Amino acid sequence: MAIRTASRGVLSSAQRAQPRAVRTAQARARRNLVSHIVLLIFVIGALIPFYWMVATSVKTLSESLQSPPTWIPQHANFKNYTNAFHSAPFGRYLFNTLFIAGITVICNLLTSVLAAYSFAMNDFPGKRVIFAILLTTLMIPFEVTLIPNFILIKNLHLYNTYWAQIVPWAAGTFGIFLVRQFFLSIPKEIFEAAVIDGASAWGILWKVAVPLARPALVTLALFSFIGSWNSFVWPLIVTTSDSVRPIQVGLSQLKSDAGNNNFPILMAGTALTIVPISILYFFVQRQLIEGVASSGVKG
Amino acid sequence: MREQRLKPALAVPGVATSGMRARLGARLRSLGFSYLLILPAVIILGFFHIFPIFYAFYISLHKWKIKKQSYVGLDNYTRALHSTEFWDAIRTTLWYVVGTVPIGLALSLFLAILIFRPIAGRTFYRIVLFLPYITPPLAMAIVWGWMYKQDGAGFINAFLGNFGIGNHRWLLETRGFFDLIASNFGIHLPQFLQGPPLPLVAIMAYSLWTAVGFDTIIFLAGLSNVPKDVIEAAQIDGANQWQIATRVIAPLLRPTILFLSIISVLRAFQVFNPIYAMTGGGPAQKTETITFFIFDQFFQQVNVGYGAAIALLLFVILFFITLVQLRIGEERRVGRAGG
Repeated sequence: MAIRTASRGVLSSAQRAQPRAVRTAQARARRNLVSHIVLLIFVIGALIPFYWMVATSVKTLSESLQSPPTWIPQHANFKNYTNAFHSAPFGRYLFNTLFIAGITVICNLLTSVLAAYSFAMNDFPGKRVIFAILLTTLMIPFEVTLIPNFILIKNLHLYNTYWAQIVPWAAGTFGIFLVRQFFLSIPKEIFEAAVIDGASAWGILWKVAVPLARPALVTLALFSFIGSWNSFVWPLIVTTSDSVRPIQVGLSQLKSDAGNNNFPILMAGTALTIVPISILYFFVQRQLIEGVASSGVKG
Repeated sequence: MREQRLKPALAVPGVATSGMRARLGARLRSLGFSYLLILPAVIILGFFHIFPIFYAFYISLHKWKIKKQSYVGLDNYTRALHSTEFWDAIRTTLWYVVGTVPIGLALSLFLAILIFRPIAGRTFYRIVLFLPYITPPLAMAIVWGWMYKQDGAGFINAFLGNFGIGNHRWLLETRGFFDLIASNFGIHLPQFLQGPPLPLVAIMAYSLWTAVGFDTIIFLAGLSNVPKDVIEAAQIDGANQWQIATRVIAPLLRPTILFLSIISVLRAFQVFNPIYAMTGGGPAQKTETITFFIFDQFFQQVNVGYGAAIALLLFVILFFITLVQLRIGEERRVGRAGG
């Protein structure tokens, strides 16, 4: 069947080569215009919630309740932001989040690099089995480990601490997998050269493998940071006081305290958690998108 | 200090390659060192991600409030399977999965095909469409909750008003989605045809908004693996765009579609943040999905053993669904190779 179509195709395309080229150029231009219109609709759809959040956050309470709403705020006032800071300790939340995220990223990088190096470079009994078991953790729903981990954290006397929010995420299968894949892609000759130079395995890890794996490490650090910044359910469960709570939990607190009727203040609080991560995203979008794309292809 | 150890005995280049290989092996493969390197990760993952599965099973066999009380065998499981709340939560979750996964996949494949072609601004489109995926889900769900405000001040109501769609109580409506549509035509649907409650549909829209960018990126990666000459050959054969998309690209994208359908189903079954932030399971528990039900039992009702049992039931359900998906993906591949 393939042969039949092919021969027909050759004939027809040879016969109508000239007019067809013109027609396809026109058709392509038209198609591109339609594509752009469709894509722009989706782009607007993707951005509208961000716009509406910021627009609401600079409105007065009475303006926010007007029906129909004002599409563009009448006056931009930033009182809601200072009010958000007053009704909830957002400064503290921000500090907590950055601290937790920072330590989590460092630990995750460290444990992932070490384990990935061993899995990529060395052969040892049980390697495949251990790696397979670690991979299965990717398939376990979060809810299954939520309850036992809560009890474990309580028994370890880590309840309502920073460490409760850091230690369970100080290593991750995704990171090990990502870095291991990268180590495997480095040509063996580079490591052999380092051995000839007399470097130890430990020295090779830090002087050769880690510098070469920088793109993967940056990607991992970013995902780990964003995951930490965005995490909500776990911190909600293992914390009770503002002194250790991260920003997402603080935000839900603001929602139930002050914000249920005062949406401008709530939107200001929301913007405080969304805008920083969105700005970071625009600087590092390439690493993130490529990281996601490569994980999908391998998966 | 490490610097000094770098060159203790400089080997002469180009001599005794096999000896060096052996030395490489000796240095890199020292067993103790290998285990030491994986130890930190194995301890953390083992303690907080693998052991808890077994611990969850242990908990689920007990009546367990704040502390362990008594051994009850499989009572928590039978209790779940006999409770209408559990089955309601399953039904709500299934509506959610059915309402988000196929639409999400179709939409993102469509967008990926649009962006994949060499049109101007591809990078821009990609960046903007991916943005919702990385923003904090809880915070963004709060924003959507505000956009769904039930009166004329709500963004969605005001926007849809331009198209002649009247105000809806998006997150408070108890009637089904299909019933609301049918009532526009003066038809009243029987109970079983009313469809998912409107608030659940509203949450689905939010979820699609966050997920489509991610799926699109994965599809783009899959598309870049489709050989260009295959598409060109089809074009020379006179295939139109639709035929190329369905007959040429789609079969070659099967691994990507399989991967995405598996992770989208897993993701959809575990939806929590938007439910928590937008409806709190309401109105009248109509948006209580299985994970919200677990959370409620565990965190609000302090039925820890019962919550653990339901979580493990969810795990079993997801495990079998994933197996079925893998099997279907496998069969298709075999079928294609044979035909």
